[in-house]
Amino acid sequence: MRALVRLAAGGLPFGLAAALLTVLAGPAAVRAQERYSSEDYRAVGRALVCQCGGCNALVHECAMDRCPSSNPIREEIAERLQAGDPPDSVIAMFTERYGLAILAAPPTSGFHLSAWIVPGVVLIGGAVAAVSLLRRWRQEGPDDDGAGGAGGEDEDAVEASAEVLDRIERDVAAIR
Amino acid sequence: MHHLGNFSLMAVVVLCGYAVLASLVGAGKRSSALVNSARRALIAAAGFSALSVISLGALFLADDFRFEAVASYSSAALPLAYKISAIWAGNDGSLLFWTFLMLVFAASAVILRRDDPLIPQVVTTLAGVTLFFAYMNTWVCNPFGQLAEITAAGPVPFVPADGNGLNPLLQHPIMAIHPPILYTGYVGFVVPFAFCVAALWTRRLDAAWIASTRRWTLVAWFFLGSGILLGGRWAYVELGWGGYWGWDPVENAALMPWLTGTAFLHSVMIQERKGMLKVWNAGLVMTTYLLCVFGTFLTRSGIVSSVHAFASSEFAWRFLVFLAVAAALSAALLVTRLKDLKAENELEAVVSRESGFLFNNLLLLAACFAVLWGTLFPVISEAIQGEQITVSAPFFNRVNVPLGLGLLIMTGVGPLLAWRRSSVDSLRRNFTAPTIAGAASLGLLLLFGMRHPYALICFAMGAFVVVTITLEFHRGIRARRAHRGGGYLEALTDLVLRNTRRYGGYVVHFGIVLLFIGFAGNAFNEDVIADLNPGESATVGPWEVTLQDLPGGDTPVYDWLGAQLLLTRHDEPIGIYQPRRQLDKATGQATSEVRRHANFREDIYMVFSGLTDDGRATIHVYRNPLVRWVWLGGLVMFLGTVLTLLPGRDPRARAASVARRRAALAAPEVA
Repeated sequence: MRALVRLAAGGLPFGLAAALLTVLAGPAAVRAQERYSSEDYRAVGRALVCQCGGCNALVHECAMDRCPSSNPIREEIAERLQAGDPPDSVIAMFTERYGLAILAAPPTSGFHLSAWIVPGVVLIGGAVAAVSLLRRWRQEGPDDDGAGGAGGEDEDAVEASAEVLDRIERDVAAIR
Repeated sequence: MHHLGNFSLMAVVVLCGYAVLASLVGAGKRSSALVNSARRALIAAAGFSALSVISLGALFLADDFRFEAVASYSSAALPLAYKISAIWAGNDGSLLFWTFLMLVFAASAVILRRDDPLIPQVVTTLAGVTLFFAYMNTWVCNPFGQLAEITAAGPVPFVPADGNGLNPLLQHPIMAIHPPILYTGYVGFVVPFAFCVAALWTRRLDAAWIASTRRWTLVAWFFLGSGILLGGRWAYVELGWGGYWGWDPVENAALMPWLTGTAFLHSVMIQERKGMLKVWNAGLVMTTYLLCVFGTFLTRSGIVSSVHAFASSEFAWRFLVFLAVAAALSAALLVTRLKDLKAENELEAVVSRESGFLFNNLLLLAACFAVLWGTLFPVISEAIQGEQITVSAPFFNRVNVPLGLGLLIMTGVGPLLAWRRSSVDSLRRNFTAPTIAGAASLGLLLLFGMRHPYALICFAMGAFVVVTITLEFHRGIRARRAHRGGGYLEALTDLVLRNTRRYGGYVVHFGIVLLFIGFAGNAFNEDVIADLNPGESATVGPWEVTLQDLPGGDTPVYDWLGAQLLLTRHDEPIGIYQPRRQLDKATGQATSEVRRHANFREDIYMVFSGLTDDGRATIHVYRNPLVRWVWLGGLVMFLGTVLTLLPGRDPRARAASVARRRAALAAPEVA
């Protein structure tokens, strides 16, 4: 089988590879039960964190084989959603059982609301400070036509200054 | 060998201590002999540090399991390359390696910048910082500790038959190079930090210290960014959770100094051109280095839970004290020099390149703060509320994605603004084509049914930025040809080589756009988990995986069980893939070996998660669009940074060089 995998990946003519793969695939495949594929499941599975104590992975993404935490949580999420529980109540049920630590993000109420608000306040505060700084710095000056777009880099001016700089370099060489 | 290692460590402590004292006295007495002696002591310390690392490496290569580091992170059967990388697998060894790399940077700086008037204070700072790390390595987390068994008669040396082996997740080629690259990024910022401290200390606050350290900053920034990206790549191909960035505290620890370093690389241009933002730039350099040290603290202290962190360490408080002292001294130095840091010019207009850089800095700093705040919030919450909480990907994504898009917008808008003042005419002229490109992309995407707002903004702004960059090159080439004639390609080469900094920067910006295109792909991720019997299949989008077989086997290192999957798209066979579960014999740890079908459109990422109780294979299939653009973006950023580091023929760069040489000539021999 390994040899066949290598053949298929290693540049067999596409038709031949496709024929081989079709033979390997056997008769039309039977659709399996996809346990965790609903949007609601994903939303809940990504709102909760594995409680195994080490990986910090979202329940839906925990890749540990037979993880004693995320596997049963996944099963229970699927069961409860299938039983008709709304996603929010499933999350609330797990929060009651495990505490806030199971939530992947802080709640948006009480003290924990500050987790969400403070970065925004800092950004707005910073923006206000930057604008007031700009206003303080601002003074009348000649218009710049922005030649070259890239910050008014005028090629001729650059060339002219190059000559001056060449002279400076010669001076420095002379000083040495 | 361990005697040599320990002796070398002590020599590093002594030499760094001597370098601090000699450089201080030398600067005070204006004795170039003493300052040179301090400089040489720092270089010698780097040599001894290398000896110490080599000694530890020899213990690993010799499978000397008397030593805790070797017994904990290596085994006799471990391949040679991983025996070497196991040196930095543990807390003590990685700190030794960290110290060694920092001394390499320190020694390089004092060799290459030996004529810099700031060198006495630079040596004091570099040696002072290194002294702390060398002290930690020698007396607190010494990697040459031996195993002992506690008996009634007291501790008796203990030698296990074999070591525990290296965590199988770390046995990956990327993981062999990721830590050294990341550490190089972290420690590299010590050089700009030292020059900044020296400039403040001596009140030599012109742009000379910035010009002296620009390349050092770029190198550190480059390594830190590369390390972050390599870490993401490793997580993606090795951890099996379908993503490359999990907002883990240790990942965040590396991202924060990268963000502030990026801010510095931009704002420094204002100081070079206009003599403005001096306090800001000094603050950014200090913050960046302190965040690097903070990252080390975060990784080793155990204050936050992380999959990558070393176990909780009793040494955390020492780091905290060092960090607090360094922060206090830096702040004091900055505050006492405020008068000398006044801007030499004033801003002429709100709509200008200068203000663009200011808002770019604001967004980068806000993103850095949001990451820091989210990372520390569990600790804050526990301290105030007494209840542990988790702050994970959903929080960071919600807070940082808008900031990231803001930064992408600034990447496009910034280069279109003129220095000093942008007139309405210039704005119209410069913005027309990029705006049309962005709007056209937006319209097309809407027409094809895309509705995700962040993805739409990302792609539209990506088009805006790409057109901006293309126009920058085009205008430059046109001006060059008008001035000197020649063909388009010749003009392009000449243009880029004359100003590697500017055009290398544009290439980096192009890499950023590619990176963001890859990030935007996350908006369309799909996945399915299914329990399959042979012959059964699961679908994700147009893709279908069918379980064919469950082969298994073993090697001297691990047992394995595979899930042989046939991947088809719209019923057309694409390939056979065999994701595996492996059980490492040395550590008993199970890991996933992911298999991917990847192209620039999407990755089909297949994970064999294990067997259910009734023997079905649990398969997790992710459809991750555009992931390859992330790696391509990283590569382009790499090339752009290399280009930026090349010595350009730019007159302005030459002017800076001349100014530095003049300053060096005019300066007294020692400060």
